[in-house]
Amino acid sequence: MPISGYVVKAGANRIAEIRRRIRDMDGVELGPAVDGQFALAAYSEDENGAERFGESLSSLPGVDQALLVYHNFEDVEYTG
Amino acid sequence: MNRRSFLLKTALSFAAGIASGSTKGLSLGQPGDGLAWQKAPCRFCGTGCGVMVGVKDGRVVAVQGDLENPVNKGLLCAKGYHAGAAMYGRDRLRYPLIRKGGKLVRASWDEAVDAIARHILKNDDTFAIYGSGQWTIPEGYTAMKFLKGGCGSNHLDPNARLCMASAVVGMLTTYGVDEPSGCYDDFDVCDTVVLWGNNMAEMHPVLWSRIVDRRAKGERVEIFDLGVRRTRTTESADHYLEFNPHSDLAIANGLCYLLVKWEAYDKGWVERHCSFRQGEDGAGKPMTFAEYVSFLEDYTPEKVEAISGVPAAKLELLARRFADKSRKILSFWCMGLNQHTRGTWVNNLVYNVHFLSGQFGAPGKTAFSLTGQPSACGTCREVGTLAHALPGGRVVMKDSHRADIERAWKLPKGRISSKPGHHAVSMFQALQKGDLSGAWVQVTNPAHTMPNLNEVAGNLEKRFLVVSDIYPTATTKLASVVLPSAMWVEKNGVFGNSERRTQQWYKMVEPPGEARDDVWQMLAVARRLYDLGYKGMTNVDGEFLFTFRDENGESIEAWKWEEYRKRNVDRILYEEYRPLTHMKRKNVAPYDELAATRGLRWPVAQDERGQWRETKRRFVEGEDPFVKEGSQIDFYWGPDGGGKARIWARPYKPAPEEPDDEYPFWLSTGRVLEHWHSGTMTRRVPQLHSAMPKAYVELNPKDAATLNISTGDRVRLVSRRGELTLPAWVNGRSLPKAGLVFVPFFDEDLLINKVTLHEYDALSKEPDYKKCAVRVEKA
Repeated sequence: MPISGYVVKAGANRIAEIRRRIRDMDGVELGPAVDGQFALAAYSEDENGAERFGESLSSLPGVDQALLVYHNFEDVEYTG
Repeated sequence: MNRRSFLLKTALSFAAGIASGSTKGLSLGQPGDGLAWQKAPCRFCGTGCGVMVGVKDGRVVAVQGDLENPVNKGLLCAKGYHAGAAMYGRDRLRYPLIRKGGKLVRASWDEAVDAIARHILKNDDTFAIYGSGQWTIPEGYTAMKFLKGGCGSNHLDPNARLCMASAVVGMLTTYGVDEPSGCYDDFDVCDTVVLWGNNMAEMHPVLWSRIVDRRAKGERVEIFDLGVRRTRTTESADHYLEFNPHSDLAIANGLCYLLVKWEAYDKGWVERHCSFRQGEDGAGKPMTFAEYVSFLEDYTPEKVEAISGVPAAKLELLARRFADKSRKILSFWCMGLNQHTRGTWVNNLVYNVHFLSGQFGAPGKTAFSLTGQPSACGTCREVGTLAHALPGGRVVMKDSHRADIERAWKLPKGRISSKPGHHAVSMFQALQKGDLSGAWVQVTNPAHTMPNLNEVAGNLEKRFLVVSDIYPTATTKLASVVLPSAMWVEKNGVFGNSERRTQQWYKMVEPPGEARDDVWQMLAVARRLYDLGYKGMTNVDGEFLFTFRDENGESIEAWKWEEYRKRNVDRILYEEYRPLTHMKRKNVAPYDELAATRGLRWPVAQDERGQWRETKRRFVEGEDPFVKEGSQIDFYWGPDGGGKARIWARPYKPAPEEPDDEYPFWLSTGRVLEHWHSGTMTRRVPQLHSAMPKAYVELNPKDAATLNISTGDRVRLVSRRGELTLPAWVNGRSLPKAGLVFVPFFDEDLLINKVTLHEYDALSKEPDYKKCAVRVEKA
């Protein structure tokens, strides 16, 4: 159950639309939008799920950058 | 609230703090989350980002950017966030292995240490150590003392020779001492960025974000990208100057030509701070300004366009920026200039442009060499783990330097050899031929990363090869002895980053199985040699060379693992090394000061209240404590004296191998965002591996169409040295110029270095991985 915190950066006129799309995703909590960026936290079933989530976030139309800023993987077993 | 909800809130509050800029109170991990948080610098590139590492039940379980660290201010790249996960691959090496009957089998530490000591006992003058820019400062220092002080041999060199040696020699020949003048603070105030063959967006993403985030805030920062392929960096650039491989020498000289022709150079700055030099070697001979102007006549915009392919108008546009004294210009480079058979020269030429334009030694005005490994600067360059070097900027060729170190290490006079040892490529050629009997490889993977692998790294399996590492690699497969190493926060450490910042961390978790610190491994072998009667490991007092004492003067038996792990041996070694940094005015900060801070940039000095003060910009009056009053800029190690640096007349000369009818394409190799160098760590992280599982060859779409190649097709690259078949990628992540193909080198299963060239820069001995000629065939 990896937990990730992101800062999403986008053009101010796209923020509302992007937030609507993200709100529909499973396991996501959104923070308030400030100056063309906002925070979100998400949990995933496993590390690959976390990776897919990060990729889908980055590829949303209008997203300039989705920066991972926190990552907790305390119940993930050995990898590789 | 259950744990998941709690951690979600934790993640959200941290991210919200970063997004809003309200980061107060968020910096020391997350209170109440049940994790023990401590600081460490990141394990990967040379940026030196601060990481907060969360530990639970003896395991690293969380990572966040360190808000208190001025390098990254809370941000990390994808590799940094997975630095913790990179420790937990299933195939971590846990026990020593010794080759018996052709197979690596589990052995005891005692057996492994004994085997290494007995080989060195018989072959001390033909045994080498090949280290790394991932060595911590105490590790590199120990290796240096072991081999140069203990064995009296200089066959010690690091993998950093393959990535930044040209930058080092560039600085030495320009201003007489290694390491940059500027610092990351310059990134926040420059208004023009010039990237010399540098894909900063992917290779140094946190530093890159420091620049592009300024644009997001409405600041105007203009970016010039000089490259041989369009990359993610180009996407943010205002101007892309695509040039023919190797022609960067002509471009830099062309800029100087225009500055002089337009009389737009900063005459006062040049007269006060520069001398002129010509010649192909490191010493050169003096020349007059008039002679320099005459030399530049070969670099008119038209001639530069003919050589480089850069339109004259674009060259003039960039020259106009340098001519504009109101601007603050910052140049960056990394492997593009350094892995170059004229790497030293082209480094010299970038300084020329900055010196002629006076774009040096003030906030936002500098030329900055980026580095690829976390302590290539701190360990390889400052400690000096190079075949010709001794600690603190000393060299083995100088009698007084050897005498200094022999005194410091209590060695008999004459113990340190005055003859430089084998540099990296030469070391592996000597192993291939049998001129060296064996080598101890630590924290690096030469059977993957040496150029022209078939020739340079052949026969390694026939030599006595010791490899200390954390995972199986291409090199461990060839080893006689494999030693399992502790990684990152499984041990204490000190790194030095690209801006002269020395950073320390404490051990946080135990290494797996019987893995042990590299420092301990060397102490254990040194002690076994001493016990076997080897004179080299005895000092002039008749004591063991690595004799450490506690606060009561009692000897510490650090070669015994149980004793070693109870002590902070790193602190002892670092404090032994620290005074040696004073001779070249590279004064590093005390260990305890580093422990209390997010690192300090050397040279440090104590103020009247006893506070340690760092130096942002070297050679700059008011910032660098060693600069003479009234001099403004003082290159106090300038090779021509008078506080002056050199402007060099270095010509453009063609590359040693260029495309021809038989091999019509340029091959350039490099890195990708997801993987770090040979992928030993990052390929064990599922997210990174799945994002970039396999190497590929990128082609220009026009070339692909001509050759009838589409994405996914199997393509064979053939050079004069070897061949490799790998999948094609067209219109992929980057866009190589027509006539050039790009292949990343991280993939152990697709070793592009079987194809590359091993020619190296005559001055820095750094090989050129960026240019060789290949044939491209649809397989």
